[in-house]
Amino acid sequence: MKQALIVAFLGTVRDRFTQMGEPLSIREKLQRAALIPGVEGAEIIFPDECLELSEVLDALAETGLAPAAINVNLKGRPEFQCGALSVSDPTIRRLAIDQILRAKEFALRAGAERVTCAPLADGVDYPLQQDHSGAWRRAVETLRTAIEEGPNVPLHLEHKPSDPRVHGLLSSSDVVLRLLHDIDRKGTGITFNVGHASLDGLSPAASLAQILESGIPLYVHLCDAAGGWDWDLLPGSYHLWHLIEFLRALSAGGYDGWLTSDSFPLRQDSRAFCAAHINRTGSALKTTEDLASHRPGSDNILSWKDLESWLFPSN
Amino acid sequence: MKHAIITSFLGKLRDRFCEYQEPLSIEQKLERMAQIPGVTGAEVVHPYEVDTAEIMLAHLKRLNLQISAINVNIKGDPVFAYGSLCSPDPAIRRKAVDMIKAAKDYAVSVGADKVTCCPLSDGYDYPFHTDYRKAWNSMVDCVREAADYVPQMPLYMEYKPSETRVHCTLDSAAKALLLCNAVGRSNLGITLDIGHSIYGGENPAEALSLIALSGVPYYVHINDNNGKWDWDLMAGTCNLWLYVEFLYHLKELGYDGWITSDTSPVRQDAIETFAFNVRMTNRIWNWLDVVDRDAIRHHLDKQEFLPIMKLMEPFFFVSPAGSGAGFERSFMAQDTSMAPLEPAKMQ
Repeated sequence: MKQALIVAFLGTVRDRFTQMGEPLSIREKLQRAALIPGVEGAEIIFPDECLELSEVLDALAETGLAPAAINVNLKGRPEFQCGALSVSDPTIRRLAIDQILRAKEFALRAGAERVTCAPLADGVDYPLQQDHSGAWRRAVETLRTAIEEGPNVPLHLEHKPSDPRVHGLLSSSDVVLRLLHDIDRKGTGITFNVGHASLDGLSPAASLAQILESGIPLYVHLCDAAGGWDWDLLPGSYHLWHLIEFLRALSAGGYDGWLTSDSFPLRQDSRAFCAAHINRTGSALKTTEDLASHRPGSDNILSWKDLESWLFPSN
Repeated sequence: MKHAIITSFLGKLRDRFCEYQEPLSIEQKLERMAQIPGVTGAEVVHPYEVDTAEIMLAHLKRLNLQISAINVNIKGDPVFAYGSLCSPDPAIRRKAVDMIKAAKDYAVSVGADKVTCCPLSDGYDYPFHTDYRKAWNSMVDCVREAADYVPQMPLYMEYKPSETRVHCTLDSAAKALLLCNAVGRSNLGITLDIGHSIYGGENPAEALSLIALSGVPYYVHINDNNGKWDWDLMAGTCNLWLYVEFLYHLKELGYDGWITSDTSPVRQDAIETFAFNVRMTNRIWNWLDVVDRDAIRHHLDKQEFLPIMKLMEPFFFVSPAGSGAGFERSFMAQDTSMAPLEPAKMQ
């Protein structure tokens, strides 16, 4: 597996109350990413970081980083505040389609294998706010159009329970799988976010199993969550056992694609933080390889003994 | 019942990804506030949303508004990103305490009766991120010094489970009471935000009762959420029963202070949002004046909740038989003292 960074996190990051980090150009972000040992790829936000194709292409060539994905932003524009793919206004849905099509075109020219999309503005805040069936049907139709039109670049959809909506439309990986079933077109995939998957107390490996069984193309975002919120923390910082379980399941499933960091360096030096993410993920991958003798089983105490001897090898 | 609004929610808002609504001056915010039926108070954020005391007093007089509280912001300055009252850096703690003192001075100059403070940058994000005992003692010392300054101006501390930190130091009603105990000053109070209480896993009415039993003064922020995050939704829209229970206990305690909306109208009309809070709260509050509270007390004493539910059901729902005949749905019914309801300007 190869590691990549969402390079936007190397620049200015913010929450509702705080803003930190210096504003950087995409070239500067890629240059900083390339200095972190173990980073081979970059996920780039479209259109925010893709204003000049030549700047991105030059910076990728200069740094030797591969474009792991183009991340199309369907939440930042004011028009998308109440939704992008599922809103009742067809002109806004068309804006979303056009933005995805332009992202696909950009991905094709940049040599990225996929466009990934987390439609975070789609969802609801209050009861009685939404015709849920209608919203679902509109999302299916909008995405089907975005997949059929434009260049043949796979569109991966990412799940998240909430934020910035109280209840996100694509709240779980299971919901994304159901959506892709309804869209019923080739040229789709899922972006599985380990932090988002653990928000509701689930085991990310259990959710991953559904994806692997479906055969849907997979791309992975890695971080951790705590307290029921998507804090984008360092992987395994709260759910260590789940991280080990997930990486083993991923490896056993034959995944050899990108592990892209979605860890958020608020309050930390972004380069040191990203380096910590890459280093920890690399170490976790290596050590899960050493767990070849691990015997999974819900009632098998030997399974835990294997894990103990891995975690505490010296005592 | 006196209704107030935190002024910052009337202008530009933002979350991690988006910005909403228009930036407004404090004068424009107060003018918008004055348009909302039933709202007579403003909680003003110091030092970021204030004019000089003289100008502020002129605004308030012109618009017939009062100050419900001065809310001192010790989280917005980047220097506080790693903590304010709990920071290991004494210079940062000094800056935080000085800001509270300045807010107290301002409160005196505009005739406010309290300063409220929610130390949201104090806490931690990761295991091994902080020395909990040192952090706590720093908070105790800082709050004591701030309380002792201009002691006639009470300082209310607001608790919240998280945000901006993964875990906030002052995270629950019980922790806030422990802080009051440790500081040992009678001019300390607690600001109870019903949303913080809900998503922190408390029952707000129980948290209120705990605070009231302690004798510590309290002040109330209203909103709602889904139990997972501080969404600052309109009051009662997720947890209506909890809100009714909370207001019941507030009324039983004889609370006559401000009910301040800490509600975030990100995707909807702000004036309609706060008007909803006022209407809903007043409907419940007024209904609690006419309901048989002796019967409620009687059943509470016996821990009989089903008879209380039965007492309340007709106020929420029409009769299963149809048209509501035989039921006086006075809670949901139109309050004739108010303007007719208009459809909210939801986008």
